[in-house]
Order: sequence, then C-alpha cells, then structure tokens
Amino acid sequence: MKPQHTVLTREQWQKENKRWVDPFSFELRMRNVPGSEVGQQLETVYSHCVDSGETPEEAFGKPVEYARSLELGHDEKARERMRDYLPSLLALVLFLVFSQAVDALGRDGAFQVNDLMLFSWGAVCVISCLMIIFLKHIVEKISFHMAGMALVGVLTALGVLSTLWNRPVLFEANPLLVIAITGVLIVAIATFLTLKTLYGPDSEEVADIAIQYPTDSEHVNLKRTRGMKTLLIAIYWIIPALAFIQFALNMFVSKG
Amino acid sequence: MNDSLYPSDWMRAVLGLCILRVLESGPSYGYAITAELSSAGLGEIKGGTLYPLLTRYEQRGLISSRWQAGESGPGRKYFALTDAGRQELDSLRNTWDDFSQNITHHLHASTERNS
Repeated sequence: MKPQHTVLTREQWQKENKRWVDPFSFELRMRNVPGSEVGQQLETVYSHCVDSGETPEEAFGKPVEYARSLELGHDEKARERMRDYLPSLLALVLFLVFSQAVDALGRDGAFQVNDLMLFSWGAVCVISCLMIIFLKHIVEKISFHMAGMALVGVLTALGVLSTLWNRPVLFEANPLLVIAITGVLIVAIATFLTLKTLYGPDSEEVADIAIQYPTDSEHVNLKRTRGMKTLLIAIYWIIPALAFIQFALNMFVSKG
Repeated sequence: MNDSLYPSDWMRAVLGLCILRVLESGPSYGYAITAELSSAGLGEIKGGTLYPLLTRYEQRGLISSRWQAGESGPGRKYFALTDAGRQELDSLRNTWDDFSQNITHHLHASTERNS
C-alpha cells in the first residue's frame, strides 16, 4: 500500500476515477439504492483509496461486482420502471399526435390518420417500452446514446414514409379539436408529475435520487435535493414546451 | 482477497470474527482495520472484501457507524461494536476456542488406529 501524499478533493478524485465511479453509482442506482446511501458508499471508496494510495480497481475490484457484493437495495423490476415512465411515454405519444394535428392546421387541411402513422406511433410505444425494460443492458452493452439515436432514426424514417407514401386515410378529424384535446392532456400529465414530485407520497424518495454525501453540510445536501427536484420538473415540462413552441411557430408561419 | 499466507477460504471464514475483535478495542475506520489485521499476520485485506462485511454487520446491528469529517481530506466512517456485536464476538470466540482445540487435537493425535 502506498499512501497518497497529494490529497485530491472528492470532485477531482471522482473525475480521475470516472471509469470506476460511474458504473459503480449506476449499478447502485439500478438497484434502487437511495442517493444518501450511494453518497456514503462513494465517500467510503474515496476515503479508503486516499488512505491506502490504491486506485478503486486495486482496492475494490470491478465496480459492478463490488456494488453487487454490498447487497444493498434490490434489482428494479421492469414493471416498477414501466410504472414510473408510463406517464412520460403517454405524453410522448400525445405529442406525436399533437404535432401531426398542428401540421394539418398549418396546411389548412384535416387531421388525417393512415395505417403507417398508427404503425409509427405504435412503434414509438414498443421501442420506448423495450428501452425502459432493457435500460440496464442498453447502458451496459450498447450505450444509451446509440439506442436513442437508433430510436430517432427509426421514427424519422417512419414519419417521412407516412407523409410521402400516400396511404388510404383511416379516419380524419378537426385539427383544432385534436390540438385542444392532446394539448390539455400533455399539460395535465406534466402537472400531475410535477405535483407528484412535490407533494406525492414518494416525494421524499424522489428527492433521495440526488447523491448526498455524509460529510457535506445539511445545507449543501438540501440544495442538491432541491436541484434534483427542479431538474425532474424541468424534464416533465420539456414536451409541453416543445408542443407550445411548435404550435406558436406554425401559427406564426401560416399567418406570415 | 488478500496476500495472506493462509488459504483464502480459511481467511473468509475467520475474517468477520477478526474484524469484531479489532473493533473490541474501540471504534475504528476501514483502512485502520485493514492495517491492524495486517499487523496481526492476516495479510493485506482489500477494501472490496472488508466493506461488504462491515455493511452486513451494520445491517445485522452488530456494529454501528458514524462519519467524521476530515480536516484536509475525505471524511472517515468510524465503526464501533454494539452490545449485540460484543455478545456475538464472545460467543464466536468461545466457539472458535472449542473448534481450534478439537482441530489441533485431531491433527496431532496418534496416527495409529485401534483395531
């Protein structure tokens, strides 16, 4: 063991050992370990490595195996993950329908749905569900960015195909009515998720997603918790914001 | 697991008992525990072996822990023996005495068979 003379700060140390720290934290997160416990485990590894002068790999072995050996939390079931992501998935599908209706309104046409559109919306649901169920494997084996890019690629191709390929219309509706219904539902979902995060029965659990270090002051940890809640709420409002921007731009262009 | 002269499965079996013994002298933190075990002749115990055991003992209520902020470095998690841990140590120590005496007796007994 070789004691380390220059003591790195936690942030510097974590940056230097990112290739170990990231998969370790991720494995604990996937096992539903609360942020305060993740913080304790990270601090333990940091402290031990500074004392012994070892790298985390030397002292603790492979990050995923070490995280599992701690026997903390439990493997998050796909059903639990689906329950958490279902409202966001619903908002995404509603946004696709909203988008189609805004496009129809811009063209002064009716909101028309053909089989290819239905197929592409269904594909969004299926691919998103698969990504949620196999989240851990995707991150471990493929990388989330690649999976996300593949999803965007498939959707773009289906979108272009459904517009260009003149398929028979299955049903049509007034685009304004569709915009109103889907718009209200999108806002309702974002509001529901926001209220759930702020006041829901598991709001404390939600806040505990933020990593809290045992040696940091209560004030600093509280700030992290608030930051995490704000970030989550901001994510919930991305789809309503996109819908609003798309609607406003479409109105602006069609009036201009 | 470690650089001990002893087989690793023996070490795995007695490590918990030895950790409780180290904590009997007073609260200590991870690296200091490994250093004490090393100077007791148990070889170099890695963090990856030590902390899962400490975590399990804490969950079983045999030890408690508290964090102490470091002055110019990381904080340290100090582990202390609880009353339950002290009882467990006493019980395991007695069992170990019995066990080791029996094994020593067995290993050094006469090799002649009564027929």
